[in-house]
Amino acid sequence: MTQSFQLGSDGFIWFMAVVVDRADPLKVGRCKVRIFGYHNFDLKVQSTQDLPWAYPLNPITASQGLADFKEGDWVVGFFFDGKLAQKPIIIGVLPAIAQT
Amino acid sequence: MAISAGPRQVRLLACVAYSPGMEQRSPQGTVPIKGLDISNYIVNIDLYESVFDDTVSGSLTLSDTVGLPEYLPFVGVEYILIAFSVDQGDKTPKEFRRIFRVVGLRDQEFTKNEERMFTVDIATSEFVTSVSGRVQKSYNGVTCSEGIQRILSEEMGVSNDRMTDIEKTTFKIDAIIPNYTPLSAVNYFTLLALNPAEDSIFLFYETLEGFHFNSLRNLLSPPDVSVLPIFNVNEGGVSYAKTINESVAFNSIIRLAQERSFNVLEDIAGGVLRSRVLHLDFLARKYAFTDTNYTDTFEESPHLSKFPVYPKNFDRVVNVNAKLFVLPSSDWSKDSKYVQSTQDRIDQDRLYRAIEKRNRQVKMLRHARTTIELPGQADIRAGSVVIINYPSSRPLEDSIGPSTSSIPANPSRYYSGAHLITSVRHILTRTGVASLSYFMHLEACRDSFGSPLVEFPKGED
Repeated sequence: MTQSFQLGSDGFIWFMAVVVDRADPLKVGRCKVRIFGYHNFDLKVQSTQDLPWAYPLNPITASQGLADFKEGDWVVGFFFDGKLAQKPIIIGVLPAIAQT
Repeated sequence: MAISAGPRQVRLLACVAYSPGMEQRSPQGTVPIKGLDISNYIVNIDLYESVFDDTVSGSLTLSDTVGLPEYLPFVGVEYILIAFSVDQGDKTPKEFRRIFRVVGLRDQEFTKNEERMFTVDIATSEFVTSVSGRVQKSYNGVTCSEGIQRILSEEMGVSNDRMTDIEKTTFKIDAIIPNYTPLSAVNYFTLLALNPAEDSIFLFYETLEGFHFNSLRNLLSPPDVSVLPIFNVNEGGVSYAKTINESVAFNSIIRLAQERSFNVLEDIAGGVLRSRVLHLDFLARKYAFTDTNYTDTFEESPHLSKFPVYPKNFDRVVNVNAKLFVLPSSDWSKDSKYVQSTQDRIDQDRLYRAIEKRNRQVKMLRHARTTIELPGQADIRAGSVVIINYPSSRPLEDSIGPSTSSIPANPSRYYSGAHLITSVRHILTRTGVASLSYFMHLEACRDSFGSPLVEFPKGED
Protein backbone atom coordinates (compact mmCIF):
# COMPACT_ATOMS: atom_id res chain seq x y z
CA MET A 1 0.00 0.00 0.00
CA THR A 2 2.24 2.78 -1.20
CA GLN A 3 0.02 5.74 -0.49
CA SER A 4 0.55 9.17 0.99
CA PHE A 5 -2.76 8.87 2.88
CA GLN A 6 -3.64 12.45 2.09
CA LEU A 7 -7.16 12.52 0.64
CA GLY A 8 -7.04 13.52 -3.01
CA SER A 9 -3.30 12.94 -3.41
CA ASP A 10 -3.36 9.23 -4.09
CA GLY A 11 -5.08 9.32 -7.44
CA PHE A 12 -8.70 9.42 -8.46
CA ILE A 13 -9.92 5.84 -8.40
CA TRP A 14 -13.26 5.82 -10.18
CA PHE A 15 -15.67 2.97 -10.68
CA MET A 16 -18.87 1.83 -12.31
CA ALA A 17 -21.42 0.00 -10.18
CA VAL A 18 -24.96 -1.31 -9.94
CA VAL A 19 -27.33 0.04 -7.30
CA VAL A 20 -28.67 -2.96 -5.39
CA ASP A 21 -30.39 -1.52 -2.31
CA ARG A 22 -31.77 1.92 -1.46
CA ALA A 23 -33.25 1.19 1.96
CA ASP A 24 -30.93 3.51 3.84
CA PRO A 25 -31.62 3.42 7.57
CA LEU A 26 -29.97 6.82 7.93
CA LYS A 27 -32.20 8.30 5.22
CA VAL A 28 -29.42 10.39 3.74
CA GLY A 29 -29.72 8.87 0.28
CA ARG A 30 -27.12 6.15 0.65
CA CYS A 31 -27.39 3.00 -1.41
CA LYS A 32 -25.61 -0.32 -1.52
CA VAL A 33 -23.60 -0.74 -4.69
CA ARG A 34 -22.00 -3.74 -6.30
CA ILE A 35 -18.92 -2.33 -7.96
CA PHE A 36 -17.60 -3.90 -11.16
CA GLY A 37 -14.14 -5.31 -10.68
CA TYR A 38 -14.18 -4.83 -6.93
CA HIS A 39 -17.11 -6.85 -5.59
CA ASN A 40 -18.14 -10.40 -6.33
CA PHE A 41 -21.28 -10.76 -8.40
CA ASP A 42 -21.98 -14.20 -6.92
CA LEU A 43 -24.46 -13.45 -4.14
CA LYS A 44 -23.44 -16.59 -2.29
CA VAL A 45 -19.91 -15.22 -2.00
CA GLN A 46 -20.81 -11.60 -1.30
CA SER A 47 -24.42 -10.91 -0.34
CA THR A 48 -26.08 -7.50 -0.73
CA GLN A 49 -25.86 -7.07 3.02
CA ASP A 50 -22.06 -7.37 2.80
CA LEU A 51 -21.71 -4.52 0.32
CA PRO A 52 -20.67 -1.00 1.30
CA TRP A 53 -23.03 1.96 1.61
CA ALA A 54 -22.20 4.48 -1.10
CA TYR A 55 -22.83 8.16 -0.50
CA PRO A 56 -24.39 10.20 -3.32
CA LEU A 57 -22.96 13.61 -4.23
CA ASN A 58 -25.82 16.07 -4.47
CA PRO A 59 -25.69 18.80 -7.15
CA ILE A 60 -24.96 22.31 -5.94
CA THR A 61 -28.37 23.37 -7.21
CA ALA A 62 -30.14 20.85 -4.98
CA SER A 63 -27.77 20.29 -2.12
CA GLN A 64 -30.39 19.00 0.31
CA GLY A 65 -32.24 16.86 -2.21
CA LEU A 66 -32.33 13.10 -2.01
CA ALA A 67 -30.96 10.96 -4.76
CA ASP A 68 -33.39 9.77 -7.40
CA PHE A 69 -31.76 6.59 -8.60
CA LYS A 70 -33.29 3.15 -8.15
CA GLU A 71 -32.19 -0.47 -7.89
CA GLY A 72 -30.66 -1.65 -11.14
CA ASP A 73 -29.33 1.77 -12.11
CA TRP A 74 -25.72 1.91 -13.19
CA VAL A 75 -23.78 4.62 -11.47
CA VAL A 76 -20.31 6.14 -11.70
CA GLY A 77 -18.38 7.19 -8.64
CA PHE A 78 -15.01 7.28 -6.91
CA PHE A 79 -13.47 6.01 -3.73
CA PHE A 80 -13.11 8.64 -1.01
CA ASP A 81 -10.24 6.62 0.48
CA GLY A 82 -8.43 5.88 -2.81
CA LYS A 83 -6.96 2.42 -3.31
CA LEU A 84 -8.32 1.14 -0.02
CA ALA A 85 -11.72 1.20 -1.74
CA GLN A 86 -13.87 1.08 1.38
CA LYS A 87 -15.82 4.36 1.01
CA PRO A 88 -17.55 4.77 -2.35
CA ILE A 89 -19.08 8.08 -3.39
CA ILE A 90 -21.57 8.23 -6.28
CA ILE A 91 -21.22 11.07 -8.77
CA GLY A 92 -24.05 10.29 -11.15
CA VAL A 93 -26.31 7.82 -12.88
CA LEU A 94 -25.59 6.53 -16.39
CA PRO A 95 -28.40 6.67 -18.95
CA ALA A 96 -30.04 3.50 -20.19
CA ILE A 97 -32.25 2.47 -23.13
CA ALA A 98 -35.14 0.05 -23.09
CA GLN A 99 -34.23 -3.50 -24.17
CA THR A 100 -37.71 -4.57 -25.24
CA MET B 1 36.74 -6.77 14.01
CA ALA B 2 36.52 -10.42 13.10
CA ILE B 3 37.46 -13.55 14.99
CA SER B 4 38.50 -16.57 12.99
CA ALA B 5 35.64 -19.02 13.01
CA GLY B 6 34.57 -21.88 10.82
CA PRO B 7 31.16 -21.75 9.24
CA ARG B 8 28.35 -23.80 10.77
CA GLN B 9 28.14 -27.22 9.09
CA VAL B 10 24.90 -28.01 7.39
CA ARG B 11 23.81 -31.38 6.00
CA LEU B 12 21.72 -31.28 2.87
CA LEU B 13 18.97 -33.84 3.49
CA ALA B 14 17.15 -33.42 0.22
CA CYS B 15 16.82 -31.17 -2.76
CA VAL B 16 14.24 -32.65 -5.06
CA ALA B 17 12.68 -30.97 -8.07
CA TYR B 18 9.50 -32.22 -9.61
CA SER B 19 6.91 -30.99 -12.01
CA PRO B 20 3.21 -31.80 -11.76
CA GLY B 21 3.52 -34.40 -14.52
CA MET B 22 6.06 -36.43 -12.58
CA GLU B 23 3.61 -37.80 -10.02
CA GLN B 24 0.00 -37.60 -9.05
CA ARG B 25 0.31 -36.48 -5.50
CA SER B 26 -0.56 -32.91 -4.54
CA PRO B 27 2.49 -30.69 -4.08
CA GLN B 28 0.94 -29.45 -0.83
CA GLY B 29 2.09 -32.68 0.83
CA THR B 30 5.19 -32.59 2.97
CA VAL B 31 7.41 -34.77 0.76
CA PRO B 32 6.85 -35.54 -2.89
CA ILE B 33 6.81 -39.25 -3.67
CA LYS B 34 8.79 -38.95 -6.86
CA GLY B 35 10.93 -36.31 -8.41
CA LEU B 36 14.43 -35.68 -9.56
CA ASP B 37 17.11 -35.45 -6.90
CA ILE B 38 19.10 -32.36 -7.82
CA SER B 39 21.12 -32.15 -4.60
CA ASN B 40 24.31 -33.20 -6.43
CA TYR B 41 24.04 -30.16 -8.69
CA ILE B 42 23.58 -27.60 -5.92
CA VAL B 43 26.35 -25.02 -5.68
CA ASN B 44 24.61 -22.49 -3.49
CA ILE B 45 21.28 -22.01 -1.70
CA ASP B 46 20.27 -18.47 -0.84
CA LEU B 47 17.12 -17.86 1.24
CA TYR B 48 15.87 -14.43 2.30
CA GLU B 49 13.41 -13.42 5.01
CA SER B 50 12.49 -9.95 6.25
CA VAL B 51 10.01 -8.43 8.69
CA PHE B 52 9.02 -6.08 5.86
CA ASP B 53 8.31 -8.89 3.36
CA ASP B 54 5.26 -11.13 3.37
CA THR B 55 7.02 -14.34 2.39
CA VAL B 56 10.42 -16.00 2.20
CA SER B 57 12.14 -15.94 -1.19
CA GLY B 58 15.42 -17.24 -2.51
CA SER B 59 17.51 -18.71 -5.27
CA LEU B 60 19.49 -21.85 -6.02
CA THR B 61 22.68 -21.88 -8.03
CA LEU B 62 23.19 -25.16 -9.82
CA SER B 63 25.95 -26.62 -11.95
CA ASP B 64 25.22 -29.68 -14.09
CA THR B 65 26.25 -31.61 -17.15
CA VAL B 66 22.90 -33.23 -17.82
CA GLY B 67 21.09 -30.12 -19.03
CA LEU B 68 18.51 -29.82 -16.25
CA PRO B 69 16.91 -26.66 -17.66
CA GLU B 70 15.90 -28.68 -20.74
CA TYR B 71 15.73 -32.16 -19.24
CA LEU B 72 13.46 -31.50 -16.29
CA PRO B 73 12.64 -28.95 -17.82
CA PHE B 74 12.51 -25.79 -15.75
CA VAL B 75 9.57 -23.84 -17.13
CA GLY B 76 7.99 -22.34 -14.01
CA VAL B 77 5.61 -25.10 -12.93
CA GLU B 78 8.12 -27.01 -10.80
CA TYR B 79 8.31 -27.46 -7.08
CA ILE B 80 11.56 -27.88 -5.21
CA LEU B 81 11.77 -29.53 -1.84
CA ILE B 82 14.72 -28.28 0.19
CA ALA B 83 15.58 -30.02 3.44
CA PHE B 84 18.69 -29.48 5.52
CA SER B 85 19.80 -29.87 9.11
CA VAL B 86 21.96 -27.35 10.95
CA ASP B 87 24.55 -28.54 13.43
CA GLN B 88 24.09 -26.74 16.77
CA GLY B 89 27.14 -27.94 18.67
CA ASP B 90 25.94 -29.67 21.83
CA LYS B 91 22.27 -29.36 20.95
CA THR B 92 20.24 -31.54 18.60
CA PRO B 93 20.68 -30.47 14.97
CA LYS B 94 17.85 -28.27 13.80
CA GLU B 95 16.04 -29.46 10.70
CA PHE B 96 14.45 -27.27 8.07
CA ARG B 97 12.19 -28.64 5.34
CA ARG B 98 10.17 -26.62 2.88
CA ILE B 99 8.67 -26.82 -0.60
CA PHE B 100 9.23 -23.85 -2.91
CA ARG B 101 7.93 -22.96 -6.35
CA VAL B 102 10.30 -22.29 -9.23
CA VAL B 103 9.54 -18.78 -10.50
CA GLY B 104 12.46 -18.04 -12.80
CA LEU B 105 15.66 -19.26 -14.40
CA ARG B 106 18.48 -16.80 -15.02
CA ASP B 107 22.22 -16.28 -15.46
CA GLN B 108 22.72 -19.45 -17.48
CA GLU B 109 26.40 -19.83 -18.34
CA PHE B 110 27.94 -22.59 -20.46
CA THR B 111 31.23 -22.86 -18.64
CA LYS B 112 33.09 -25.84 -20.18
CA ASN B 113 32.26 -28.94 -22.25
CA GLU B 114 28.70 -29.86 -21.35
CA GLU B 115 28.74 -28.13 -18.00
CA ARG B 116 26.43 -25.25 -17.38
CA MET B 117 25.78 -23.10 -14.35
CA PHE B 118 22.51 -21.30 -13.74
CA THR B 119 20.37 -19.78 -11.05
CA VAL B 120 16.82 -20.83 -10.26
CA ASP B 121 14.68 -18.24 -8.46
CA ILE B 122 12.29 -19.73 -5.95
CA ALA B 123 9.34 -18.37 -4.00
CA THR B 124 7.02 -19.96 -1.52
CA SER B 125 3.97 -21.62 -3.04
CA GLU B 126 1.85 -19.32 -0.82
CA PHE B 127 3.32 -16.32 -2.61
CA VAL B 128 2.55 -17.78 -6.04
CA THR B 129 -0.95 -18.71 -4.83
CA SER B 130 -1.42 -15.15 -3.65
CA VAL B 131 -0.25 -13.60 -6.91
CA SER B 132 -2.57 -15.96 -8.79
CA GLY B 133 -5.61 -15.32 -6.60
CA ARG B 134 -7.95 -12.49 -5.71
CA VAL B 135 -10.20 -11.92 -2.73
CA GLN B 136 -13.62 -10.33 -3.16
CA LYS B 137 -15.15 -10.95 0.22
CA SER B 138 -16.62 -9.15 3.19
CA TYR B 139 -15.28 -9.79 6.65
CA ASN B 140 -17.80 -8.52 9.19
CA GLY B 141 -17.10 -8.17 12.89
CA VAL B 142 -13.67 -9.76 12.78
CA THR B 143 -10.50 -8.76 14.56
CA CYS B 144 -7.46 -8.12 12.38
CA SER B 145 -5.80 -11.33 13.59
CA GLU B 146 -8.94 -13.35 12.80
CA GLY B 147 -9.14 -11.75 9.36
CA ILE B 148 -5.52 -12.66 8.65
CA GLN B 149 -5.95 -16.23 9.86
CA ARG B 150 -9.04 -16.67 7.70
CA ILE B 151 -7.31 -15.34 4.59
CA LEU B 152 -4.24 -17.50 5.18
CA SER B 153 -6.27 -20.67 5.64
CA GLU B 154 -9.23 -20.09 3.29
CA GLU B 155 -7.54 -18.24 0.41
CA MET B 156 -3.97 -19.48 0.56
CA GLY B 157 -4.32 -22.97 2.02
CA VAL B 158 -1.82 -22.32 4.82
CA SER B 159 -2.03 -24.99 7.50
CA ASN B 160 -2.27 -24.06 11.19
CA ASP B 161 1.23 -25.32 11.92
CA ARG B 162 2.64 -22.76 9.45
CA MET B 163 0.90 -19.89 11.29
CA THR B 164 3.68 -19.93 13.83
CA ASP B 165 3.00 -16.77 15.72
CA ILE B 166 -0.26 -14.87 15.17
CA GLU B 167 -0.72 -12.35 17.96
CA LYS B 168 -4.33 -11.70 18.93
CA THR B 169 -5.87 -8.29 18.34
CA THR B 170 -9.07 -7.22 20.07
CA PHE B 171 -10.82 -4.50 18.07
CA LYS B 172 -13.45 -5.78 15.63
CA ILE B 173 -13.83 -4.26 12.19
CA ASP B 174 -15.93 -4.71 9.06
CA ALA B 175 -13.82 -4.90 5.93
CA ILE B 176 -14.82 -5.38 2.32
CA ILE B 177 -11.82 -6.76 0.48
CA PRO B 178 -12.07 -5.32 -3.03
CA ASN B 179 -10.31 -7.70 -5.41
CA TYR B 180 -6.99 -7.69 -3.58
CA THR B 181 -4.49 -10.53 -3.76
CA PRO B 182 -4.70 -12.59 -0.55
CA LEU B 183 -1.42 -11.13 0.71
CA SER B 184 -2.61 -7.57 -0.07
CA ALA B 185 -5.73 -8.37 1.95
CA VAL B 186 -3.51 -9.55 4.80
CA ASN B 187 -1.56 -6.30 4.50
CA TYR B 188 -4.81 -4.32 4.68
CA PHE B 189 -5.66 -5.94 8.03
CA THR B 190 -2.05 -5.40 9.17
CA LEU B 191 -2.33 -1.71 8.23
CA LEU B 192 -5.31 -1.28 10.57
CA ALA B 193 -4.02 -3.42 13.43
CA LEU B 194 -3.04 -1.82 16.72
CA ASN B 195 -2.43 -3.44 20.09
CA PRO B 196 -5.07 -2.87 22.84
CA ALA B 197 -3.13 0.13 24.20
CA GLU B 198 -3.11 1.53 20.63
CA ASP B 199 0.55 2.44 20.88
CA SER B 200 2.07 -0.25 18.70
CA ILE B 201 1.67 -1.27 15.09
CA PHE B 202 1.81 -4.84 13.76
CA LEU B 203 4.09 -6.50 11.23
CA PHE B 204 3.23 -9.51 9.08
CA TYR B 205 6.13 -11.56 7.73
CA GLU B 206 7.37 -15.08 7.12
CA THR B 207 10.49 -16.80 8.39
CA LEU B 208 11.78 -20.28 7.63
CA GLU B 209 9.53 -21.54 10.45
CA GLY B 210 6.28 -19.98 9.29
CA PHE B 211 4.10 -16.87 9.27
CA HIS B 212 4.23 -14.23 12.00
CA PHE B 213 1.81 -11.43 12.87
CA ASN B 214 3.28 -9.54 15.77
CA SER B 215 3.00 -6.16 17.37
CA LEU B 216 6.21 -4.17 17.40
CA ARG B 217 5.91 -3.91 21.18
CA ASN B 218 5.88 -7.69 21.43
CA LEU B 219 8.84 -8.07 19.08
CA LEU B 220 10.95 -5.52 20.91
CA SER B 221 10.15 -6.94 24.35
CA PRO B 222 11.60 -10.45 24.42
CA PRO B 223 10.56 -12.33 27.58
CA ASP B 224 14.09 -13.05 28.77
CA VAL B 225 16.81 -10.55 27.89
CA SER B 226 19.50 -12.67 29.53
CA VAL B 227 19.32 -15.36 26.83
CA LEU B 228 19.60 -13.02 23.85
CA PRO B 229 22.51 -13.76 21.48
CA ILE B 230 25.39 -11.34 22.01
CA PHE B 231 27.69 -10.19 19.22
CA ASN B 232 30.81 -8.31 20.17
CA VAL B 233 32.43 -6.10 17.59
CA ASN B 234 36.13 -6.40 18.40
CA GLU B 235 38.44 -3.78 17.13
CA GLY B 236 41.40 -6.19 17.13
CA GLY B 237 40.13 -7.98 14.07
CA VAL B 238 41.54 -11.49 14.54
CA SER B 239 41.90 -13.69 17.60
CA TYR B 240 45.38 -15.20 17.84
CA ALA B 241 44.28 -17.85 20.32
CA LYS B 242 44.83 -21.41 19.08
CA THR B 243 41.39 -22.45 20.22
CA ILE B 244 38.39 -20.37 21.08
CA ASN B 245 35.19 -21.16 22.87
CA GLU B 246 32.60 -22.61 20.51
CA SER B 247 29.89 -20.11 21.45
CA VAL B 248 32.39 -17.29 20.86
CA ALA B 249 33.25 -18.77 17.48
CA PHE B 250 29.65 -19.09 16.39
CA ASN B 251 28.76 -15.66 17.67
CA SER B 252 31.75 -14.08 16.01
CA ILE B 253 31.32 -11.46 13.35
CA ILE B 254 32.99 -11.94 9.98
CA ARG B 255 32.11 -8.52 8.61
CA LEU B 256 30.10 -5.66 10.01
CA ALA B 257 29.16 -2.27 8.67
CA GLN B 258 26.83 0.26 10.14
CA GLU B 259 25.00 1.55 7.09
CA ARG B 260 23.62 4.60 8.84
CA SER B 261 22.72 5.95 12.27
CA PHE B 262 20.04 8.44 11.29
CA ASN B 263 18.76 10.41 8.33
CA VAL B 264 17.37 13.72 9.47
CA LEU B 265 16.14 14.87 6.05
CA GLU B 266 14.18 11.68 5.56
CA ASP B 267 12.78 11.96 9.09
CA ILE B 268 11.65 15.56 8.55
CA ALA B 269 9.98 14.89 5.20
CA GLY B 270 8.64 11.51 6.26
CA GLY B 271 6.90 12.82 9.37
CA VAL B 272 9.02 11.14 12.04
CA LEU B 273 9.92 14.43 13.72
CA ARG B 274 6.53 16.03 13.38
CA SER B 275 3.28 15.19 11.69
CA ARG B 276 -0.36 16.15 11.68
CA VAL B 277 -3.42 14.02 11.06
CA LEU B 278 -6.49 15.85 9.82
CA HIS B 279 -9.48 13.56 10.02
CA LEU B 280 -12.75 14.48 8.42
CA ASP B 281 -16.23 13.25 9.26
CA PHE B 282 -18.37 14.68 6.46
CA LEU B 283 -21.60 13.17 7.81
CA ALA B 284 -21.16 15.05 11.07
CA ARG B 285 -19.62 18.09 9.33
CA LYS B 286 -16.76 17.93 11.80
CA TYR B 287 -13.00 17.60 11.60
CA ALA B 288 -10.10 17.50 14.01
CA PHE B 289 -6.34 17.78 14.01
CA THR B 290 -4.08 15.39 15.86
CA ASP B 291 -0.52 16.66 16.12
CA THR B 292 2.32 14.40 17.15
CA ASN B 293 6.02 14.90 17.56
CA TYR B 294 9.06 12.73 18.07
CA THR B 295 9.84 13.77 21.64
CA ASP B 296 6.38 13.02 23.04
CA THR B 297 5.67 9.85 21.12
CA PHE B 298 9.07 8.37 21.96
CA GLU B 299 7.92 7.93 25.55
CA GLU B 300 4.84 5.89 24.67
CA SER B 301 6.18 3.76 21.81
CA PRO B 302 8.10 0.51 22.20
CA HIS B 303 11.88 0.92 21.95
CA LEU B 304 15.07 -1.06 22.09
CA SER B 305 16.87 1.38 24.36
CA LYS B 306 16.00 4.23 26.69
CA PHE B 307 17.22 7.26 24.82
CA PRO B 308 15.96 8.84 21.59
CA VAL B 309 18.11 9.29 18.50
CA TYR B 310 17.31 13.03 18.35
CA PRO B 311 17.56 15.39 21.34
CA LYS B 312 14.47 16.51 23.18
CA ASN B 313 12.66 19.46 21.50
CA PHE B 314 14.66 19.08 18.28
CA ASP B 315 11.33 18.35 16.56
CA ARG B 316 10.14 21.91 17.35
CA VAL B 317 12.23 23.28 14.49
CA VAL B 318 10.01 21.40 12.04
CA ASN B 319 6.71 22.84 10.88
CA VAL B 320 3.75 20.80 12.03
CA ASN B 321 2.49 20.46 8.46
CA ALA B 322 5.78 18.98 7.20
CA LYS B 323 3.94 15.68 6.92
CA LEU B 324 0.18 15.91 6.72
CA PHE B 325 -2.21 12.98 6.65
CA VAL B 326 -5.78 13.72 5.60
CA LEU B 327 -8.07 10.81 6.27
CA PRO B 328 -11.75 9.94 6.58
CA SER B 329 -13.19 9.63 10.06
CA SER B 330 -16.42 8.55 11.73
CA ASP B 331 -15.59 9.71 15.22
CA TRP B 332 -18.64 11.92 15.63
CA SER B 333 -21.21 10.34 13.34
CA LYS B 334 -20.81 6.88 14.88
CA ASP B 335 -21.87 8.28 18.26
CA SER B 336 -24.59 10.61 16.99
CA LYS B 337 -28.00 10.29 18.62
CA TYR B 338 -29.61 10.31 15.19
CA VAL B 339 -27.59 7.28 14.07
CA GLN B 340 -28.50 5.45 17.27
CA SER B 341 -32.20 6.34 16.85
CA THR B 342 -32.25 4.79 13.36
CA GLN B 343 -31.04 1.41 14.63
CA ASP B 344 -28.13 1.76 12.22
CA ARG B 345 -24.48 1.40 13.00
CA ILE B 346 -21.53 3.33 11.63
CA ASP B 347 -18.22 1.60 12.22
CA GLN B 348 -15.38 3.37 13.86
CA ASP B 349 -12.85 4.30 11.24
CA ARG B 350 -9.56 2.71 12.22
CA LEU B 351 -7.50 4.15 9.41
CA TYR B 352 -6.61 7.53 10.87
CA ARG B 353 -5.77 5.96 14.22
CA ALA B 354 -3.23 3.60 12.69
CA ILE B 355 -1.61 5.42 9.76
CA GLU B 356 0.43 8.01 11.62
CA LYS B 357 1.72 5.49 14.15
CA ARG B 358 2.59 3.03 11.42
CA ASN B 359 4.45 5.63 9.41
CA ARG B 360 6.42 6.82 12.43
CA GLN B 361 7.23 3.44 13.98
CA VAL B 362 8.33 1.73 10.76
CA LYS B 363 10.63 4.66 9.91
CA MET B 364 12.02 4.91 13.44
CA LEU B 365 12.70 1.20 13.49
CA ARG B 366 15.22 1.72 10.69
CA HIS B 367 17.09 4.64 12.25
CA ALA B 368 20.35 2.79 12.85
CA ARG B 369 20.94 0.02 10.34
CA THR B 370 23.82 -2.43 10.57
CA THR B 371 24.66 -5.27 8.23
CA ILE B 372 26.45 -8.23 9.73
CA GLU B 373 27.96 -11.32 8.17
CA LEU B 374 28.41 -14.24 10.53
CA PRO B 375 28.39 -18.03 10.74
CA GLY B 376 24.86 -19.40 10.36
CA GLN B 377 22.80 -19.69 13.50
CA ALA B 378 19.78 -21.95 13.57
CA ASP B 379 17.85 -19.77 16.03
CA ILE B 380 18.30 -16.31 14.56
CA ARG B 381 15.42 -15.23 12.38
CA ALA B 382 13.90 -12.00 11.11
CA GLY B 383 12.11 -10.57 14.16
CA SER B 384 14.73 -11.83 16.67
CA VAL B 385 16.32 -9.40 19.10
CA VAL B 386 20.11 -9.62 19.56
CA ILE B 387 22.63 -7.59 21.51
CA ILE B 388 25.50 -6.01 19.60
CA ASN B 389 28.39 -4.44 21.47
CA TYR B 390 30.39 -1.88 19.50
CA PRO B 391 33.81 -0.64 20.55
CA SER B 392 34.32 3.02 21.28
CA SER B 393 37.36 4.85 19.99
CA ARG B 394 37.72 6.92 23.15
CA PRO B 395 37.27 6.06 26.81
CA LEU B 396 33.98 7.10 28.33
CA GLU B 397 33.44 7.73 32.02
CA ASP B 398 30.58 5.27 32.10
CA SER B 399 32.19 2.57 29.95
CA ILE B 400 31.57 -0.97 31.08
CA GLY B 401 34.24 -2.58 33.28
CA PRO B 402 37.59 -4.04 32.30
CA SER B 403 38.40 -5.72 29.03
CA THR B 404 37.75 -9.44 28.60
CA SER B 405 38.50 -11.73 25.72
CA SER B 406 35.02 -11.52 24.23
CA ILE B 407 33.73 -8.09 25.16
CA PRO B 408 35.20 -5.05 23.42
CA ALA B 409 37.69 -3.27 25.66
CA ASN B 410 35.69 -0.12 25.63
CA PRO B 411 32.14 -0.77 24.48
CA SER B 412 30.27 2.20 23.15
CA ARG B 413 27.21 2.89 25.26
CA TYR B 414 25.79 5.03 22.49
CA TYR B 415 25.55 2.35 19.79
CA SER B 416 25.78 -0.88 21.80
CA GLY B 417 22.69 -2.71 22.96
CA ALA B 418 19.60 -4.50 21.71
CA HIS B 419 18.94 -4.58 17.96
CA LEU B 420 16.02 -6.03 16.04
CA ILE B 421 16.96 -8.36 13.19
CA THR B 422 14.86 -7.02 10.33
CA SER B 423 16.15 -9.31 7.59
CA VAL B 424 18.21 -12.46 7.26
CA ARG B 425 19.87 -13.90 4.19
CA HIS B 426 20.75 -17.58 4.71
CA ILE B 427 23.63 -18.55 2.44
CA LEU B 428 24.42 -22.24 2.14
CA THR B 429 27.36 -23.16 -0.07
CA ARG B 430 28.40 -26.67 -1.03
CA THR B 431 31.57 -27.90 0.64
CA GLY B 432 31.26 -31.69 0.23
CA VAL B 433 29.01 -34.45 -1.08
CA ALA B 434 26.13 -33.72 1.28
CA SER B 435 27.57 -30.93 3.38
CA LEU B 436 27.12 -27.21 3.06
CA SER B 437 28.69 -24.28 4.84
CA TYR B 438 26.17 -21.94 6.41
CA PHE B 439 26.61 -18.18 6.65
CA MET B 440 24.13 -15.44 7.44
CA HIS B 441 23.85 -11.85 6.35
CA LEU B 442 21.77 -9.97 8.89
CA GLU B 443 20.29 -6.51 8.89
CA ALA B 444 20.09 -5.36 12.51
CA CYS B 445 18.16 -2.19 13.28
CA ARG B 446 17.83 0.11 16.23
CA ASP B 447 15.30 2.90 16.89
CA SER B 448 17.00 4.39 19.94
CA PHE B 449 20.41 4.68 21.55
CA GLY B 450 21.97 3.90 24.89
CA SER B 451 23.17 7.36 25.93
CA PRO B 452 21.20 10.53 26.65
CA LEU B 453 21.70 13.61 24.48
CA VAL B 454 21.77 17.22 25.58
CA GLU B 455 18.33 18.78 25.43
CA PHE B 456 17.72 21.01 22.42
CA PRO B 457 16.70 24.58 23.25
CA LYS B 458 12.94 24.90 22.93
CA GLY B 459 12.37 27.27 20.05
CA GLU B 460 9.22 28.90 18.77
CA ASP B 461 6.47 26.48 17.99
